[in-house]
Amino acid sequence: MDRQQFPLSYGGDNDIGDYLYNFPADYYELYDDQLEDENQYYQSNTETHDEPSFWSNLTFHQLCTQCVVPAVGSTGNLLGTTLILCVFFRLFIVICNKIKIVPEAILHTVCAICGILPLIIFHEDGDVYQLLLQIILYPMFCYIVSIICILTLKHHSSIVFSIIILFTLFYRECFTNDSKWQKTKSAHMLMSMKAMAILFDIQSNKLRKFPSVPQYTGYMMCAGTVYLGPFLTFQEYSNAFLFSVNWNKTKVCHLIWKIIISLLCFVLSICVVDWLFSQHLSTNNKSNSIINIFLTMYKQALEFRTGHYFVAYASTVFATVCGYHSEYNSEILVTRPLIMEWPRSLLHVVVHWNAPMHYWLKKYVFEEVLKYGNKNKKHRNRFIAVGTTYLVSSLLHGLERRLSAVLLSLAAYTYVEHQIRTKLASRFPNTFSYYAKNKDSRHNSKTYLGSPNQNNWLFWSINLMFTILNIIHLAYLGSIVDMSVDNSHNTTYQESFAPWSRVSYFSHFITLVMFFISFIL
Amino acid sequence: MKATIIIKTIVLMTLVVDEISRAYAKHREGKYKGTHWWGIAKAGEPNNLAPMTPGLMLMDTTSLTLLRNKQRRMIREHPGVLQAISRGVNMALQECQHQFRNRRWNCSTKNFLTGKNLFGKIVDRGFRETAFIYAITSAGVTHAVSRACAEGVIETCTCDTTHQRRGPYIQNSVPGVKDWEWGGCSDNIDFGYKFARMFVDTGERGRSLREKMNLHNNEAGRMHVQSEMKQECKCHGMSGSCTVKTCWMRLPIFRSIGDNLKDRFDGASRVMVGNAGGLRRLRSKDNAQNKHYEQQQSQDPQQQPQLEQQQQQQQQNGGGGGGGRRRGGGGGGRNRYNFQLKPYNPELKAPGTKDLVYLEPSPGFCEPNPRLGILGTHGRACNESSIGVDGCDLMCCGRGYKTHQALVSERCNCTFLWCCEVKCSVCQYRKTINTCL
Repeated sequence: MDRQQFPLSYGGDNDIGDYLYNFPADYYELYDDQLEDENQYYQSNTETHDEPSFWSNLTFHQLCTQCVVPAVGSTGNLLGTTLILCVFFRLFIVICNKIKIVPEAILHTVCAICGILPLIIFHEDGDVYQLLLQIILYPMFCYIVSIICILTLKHHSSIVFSIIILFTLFYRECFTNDSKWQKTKSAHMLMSMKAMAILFDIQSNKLRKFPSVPQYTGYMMCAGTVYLGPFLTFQEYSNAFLFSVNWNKTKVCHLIWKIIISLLCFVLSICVVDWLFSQHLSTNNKSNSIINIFLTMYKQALEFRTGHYFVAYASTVFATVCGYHSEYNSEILVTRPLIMEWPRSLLHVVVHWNAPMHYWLKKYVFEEVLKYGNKNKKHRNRFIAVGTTYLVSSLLHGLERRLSAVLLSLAAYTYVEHQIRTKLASRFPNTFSYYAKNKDSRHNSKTYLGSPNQNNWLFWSINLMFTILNIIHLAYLGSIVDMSVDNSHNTTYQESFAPWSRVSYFSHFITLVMFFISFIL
Repeated sequence: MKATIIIKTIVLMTLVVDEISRAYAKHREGKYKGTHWWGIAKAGEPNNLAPMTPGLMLMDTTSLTLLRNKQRRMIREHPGVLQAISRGVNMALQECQHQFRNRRWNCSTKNFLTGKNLFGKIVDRGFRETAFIYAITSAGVTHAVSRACAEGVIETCTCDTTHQRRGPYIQNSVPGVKDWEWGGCSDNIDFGYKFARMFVDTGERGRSLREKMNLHNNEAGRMHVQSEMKQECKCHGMSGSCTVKTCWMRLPIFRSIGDNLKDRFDGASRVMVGNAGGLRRLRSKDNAQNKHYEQQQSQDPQQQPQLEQQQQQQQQNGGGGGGGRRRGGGGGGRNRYNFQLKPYNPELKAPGTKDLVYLEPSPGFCEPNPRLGILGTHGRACNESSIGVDGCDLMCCGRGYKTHQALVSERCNCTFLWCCEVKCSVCQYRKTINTCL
């Protein structure tokens, strides 16, 4: 049989040319069906396999020359200009205070101009007018709406105003999916917070009268804080004009140190973290091992966190230079990286992630909601207040899918951890006390799971366990926040939560288990 | 009995191959020496000519014999580029074999030292497959050199600074093409493009249609790499907003380039010898593309077209028909790329910059053909259930196939366990393997 077939197939050996150009018509016509199949194949193939990182193959020296130096250089323009404008603004204020003939309105106007100048100089998309419109029209809108609210409504003006503003933000997030909105989003967020704070302050008589137009403009667009924050209360803003700030060597050194930290965090977030982790990830090839999955998530979260530290420190520097300060503290501290990186409890993380924003949420949302609560049902009131706080926080971020998911999860996690710790403390009162008031009573801050005798090993081990768990939770939560631009929009639900579904939402399940444990205790 | 037949055929084949290679060696300074650089991909592997000496020495000695003088000079002038080229050709080879794994011609390579040509004698003809080989290798070199440039491997290639903040004339360009602030090192496509143009196209100096076809396909490969450049950005700002944006350019993964080129392969256009030796100067203005081309020609020739403008053009041209071609920096003068190929079927439109072109219809690739270096589909695995080219009917060209069972063990059912472990079980199953007779 074999022998017969071979001559058959080789039979054409004499006339090669015959079948050589015997062009099979079907050979190329089949391509349509096949192409579709193959496309499907590739799509499924590329999903599972991650692209190697952009920075992964570099040596340290190359990383420095190709990432660190140019990255610092490119943002240095924007930040440097802002810093110079802040210094200019401060000097202007000091000089004007000496002369005492310059009307106050001019000071506020200068503040506003210094605030928006960096945005105008370093606009990206070439459309300055639209950017300006967005930045200037929004405070006008806030001003008009708040005036209308105050005049028409007597008691609930602040709440109605807040709802209007929050839904404006929500509308913008939903229906304007462009890069310009991404760029002005933080500015709008800050302005909304400030506008709401003013109304709440007026209602609670903390602010005697509604600020004048120059004051309002200056407060909304005050120098240095337009696009990076932090949130300032009106009082903090006014303090920059009223009191002279003492400048000495240590303060300058602190500032320089903060600038260095800020740039360091920026570089870490852009490429160094990526580079460091990919060095490790590339050495062990087991792409599915637990360590690798965790490290990838931790890397993603760390990039997000360091990016946040960069913004927070930069904004602290600007605010300090401009001279905004509260009565108690001469500078506004936005975040504490060490608490974030070694989270003793999630409550610490929530509080210290962005302290001014936390203050705003606590004062103007949480406490406001508590006021309306039924006095007999304290627990339920708190629950609703916490829920509202997180809802408002999500709305401030325009109900962006991933951020809202992170915030909600964080709320649940914090609640469960709080419950477990309270139960533990009440069950073993000799070993643990839940709140150990800080010795420095001025801050009135709380440390969690303090122990009467500090050297108890059980106390240490339980705290350590919570810390490690929190680190894992934070890595898990941070892993879906994607800082790359093209991925922020136009992604499906599955795509945005792919990092979570890849580890089958284990962190949420851990929290669920802990929730049941808190019931048993 | 079967064994003897196989041995006989092998002996016959080697004799024929020897004969041809000897004949070929006589005029190896001739037409297609331009393609010998492909051999760099295999230069590190042990072979008969050079003794097994590990390291770069071997790489240099064997690879330099494959190159033309100009290519050698370029490698000398740009230290570190040799490794990049080698990586590029290997990448192209793997991609080619991946794209053609289910087809009768599966991008097989020969021992390059016998015939001095990596892909065998198929490149002597102007088939579709040849067009793909030229395009994908050219794309591979462009890709690898650009990447090596960004990685700082090539000493003479500085970081790409052209993507920095540009003048106001860019800002009024197409919406969506954004200006960005990044003084850093993007994957340097400009260097890669120019280098690949000089290096890859050195051999194609003649005026024959075949050389024009090679030039066109090489250029198409490079255009695919260049137009797929992606911008990657990272955002910083309060709570996930994008106030401080840092961007850089990044090369596409090579698989997507391979996919695109395979698409172009399937839709390749056949070109023919026209009146003026197959080359038609662009004179007719009835064609909109040509008009566009002339417009571009009337611009200042010194001005390097920017990447954005290039991409913009391609968007306008709708991918398929584009006459706009990049000039400047090329090895052989500007006019070398200044031609338009004429389609074989005059009703079809002229091939665009990113299209592949070929001269003659491909053979069936069914039977081994030593003259063309075709191995045939004997012994190839095929898919019984598929009706595509990888199906047994088409793959075996109606000769029939034999089926045997093999025991295959694979990791399967991988699940994530609480907590924290990934467990896979080993599945053993019988797999039916069909091979063509």
